Amino acid sequence: MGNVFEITWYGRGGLGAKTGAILLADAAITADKFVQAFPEYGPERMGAPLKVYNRISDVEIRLHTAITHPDFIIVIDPSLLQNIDFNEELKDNGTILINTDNSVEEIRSKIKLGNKNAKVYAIDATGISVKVLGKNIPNIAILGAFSKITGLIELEEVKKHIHEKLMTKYGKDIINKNIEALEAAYKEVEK
Amino acid sequence: MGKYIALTGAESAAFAMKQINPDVVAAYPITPQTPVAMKFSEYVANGEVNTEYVTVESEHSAMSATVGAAAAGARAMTATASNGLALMWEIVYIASSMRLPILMAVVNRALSGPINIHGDHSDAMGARDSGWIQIFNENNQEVYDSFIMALRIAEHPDVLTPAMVCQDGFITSHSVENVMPLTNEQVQKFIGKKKFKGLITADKPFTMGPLDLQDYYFEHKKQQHEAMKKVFAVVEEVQNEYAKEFGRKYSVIEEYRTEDADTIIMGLNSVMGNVKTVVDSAREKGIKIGAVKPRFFRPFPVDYLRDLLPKFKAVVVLDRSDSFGAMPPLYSETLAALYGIENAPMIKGYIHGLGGRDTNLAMIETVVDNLQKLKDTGEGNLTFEYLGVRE
Repeated sequence: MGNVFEITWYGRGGLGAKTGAILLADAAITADKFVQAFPEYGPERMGAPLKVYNRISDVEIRLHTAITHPDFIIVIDPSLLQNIDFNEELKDNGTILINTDNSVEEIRSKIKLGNKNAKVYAIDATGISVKVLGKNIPNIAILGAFSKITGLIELEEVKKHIHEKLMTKYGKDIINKNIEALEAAYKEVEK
Repeated sequence: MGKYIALTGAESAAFAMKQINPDVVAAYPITPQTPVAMKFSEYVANGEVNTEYVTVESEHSAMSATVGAAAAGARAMTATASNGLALMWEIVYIASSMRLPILMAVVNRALSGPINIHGDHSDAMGARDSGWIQIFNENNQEVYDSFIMALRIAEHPDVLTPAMVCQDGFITSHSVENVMPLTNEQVQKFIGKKKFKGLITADKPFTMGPLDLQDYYFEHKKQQHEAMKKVFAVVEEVQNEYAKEFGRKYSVIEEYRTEDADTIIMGLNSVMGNVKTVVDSAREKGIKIGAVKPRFFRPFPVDYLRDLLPKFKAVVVLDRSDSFGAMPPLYSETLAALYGIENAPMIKGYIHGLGGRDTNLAMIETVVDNLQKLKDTGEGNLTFEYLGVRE
């Protein structure tokens, strides 16, 4: 089957996790990868917890099933941290990216990691988003950090797809601010 | 070679519709079909198609408007799911009785009640006797390719029968995957000009579908059956041409690692990707197992199955719908197809994934174990049970 890289996003309706996952898939396709981006749908409502998944692979992806043990967990809403059992869920030597204003050491000590061998990264995506966009839509900043951490997607590709996907809906001003957030997070996350 | 783009299953259907550029689309939104209608209406609003989009007030009206347009000779399409298909029921039968080559994107979803918005096949299976061709699709690429081939099949003069292009609600409809579309020119060249000119014209007005009692109704029904019998010959021709032109080869029944298999798992739509994955891991353990995926449920590929299945010792059939008080549809029709054949395999059925419950790899692994027991001891032969349900 080849190695499929699996990502689970933990978010809430309205924070842009789904758009983030789709942009990630778009950018990975241009890097000649096979991708999936799909949400786990409950009743859809603003503010409700939700999971979104990505698969990225060098070969065709046949699986159509939820991801239970991802290589990478993105927590876009830190209020969900208490409910996530990273020790149980994350693959060994997996990676966690958390939207938080805590330092890596602080947040590491707060989450349910047990003795799991994992890399933890912290990015204040909400802080960046509020500063640049004036509101909390942290998904694009998360992608900036993800790009730097994994090298799986190129920043330029993400920018291109932000333009293509979001320009009609949001207009130039919002797009430019999102790109600013993307770049800021890329710079800020400590690898 | 084309280029991959990222599309959801719903967008794949809408993209194929855009490239076909139908004369009329009438659709009413219902989860999880909504993004098909939404995306297509965006194409209309942007002037990317010449289609007249009829914003109807219900699915009953959607199918009615589609029937009217098709009867006047338009290439007409619609899309629906679940209760939407249930609401258009009456006209679904009328479309096929009038032999109108309509295409419908069906995003399979559980029927109420209680309300469930997720994927299973109870909607399409309910419509299995409605006289429509039914094509089932594992992934987004298949949805796209099937749509384009379905047009040629439905409009073929030997067939003139409407077709549903089915996919699993949310599982593929809302999942972004790699899809390699054709160019608009390739699609237009492949589908060609519409040969079916329609029955109602301005200078020759007449009534369609009036009263048809004991005198001719029976003959007309038999004609529908005769048309269905001709479908697979047309399918073979269209599939071969598609493969020749575009390099993507489809078959009425897809076989996966069946060459030396003594057991196989059979099923429809997205679950078959999971089955193939489990087949690969079982093969690594030396189990001679394969997967068999009928792409058509209507017409039912009886002759194909009678040729193929006796090669195996034991078969498991997965159904994503139930038939309360009877055997589930794919299982029961497969059993019926095998009746009286020498060397027919042992066979067992599972009902799985109702209301969108995830049929995960662990569940399919237990199916593989039980399938080996069936092969070795006959345990479970001619029975069916539920997979992944709480007792």
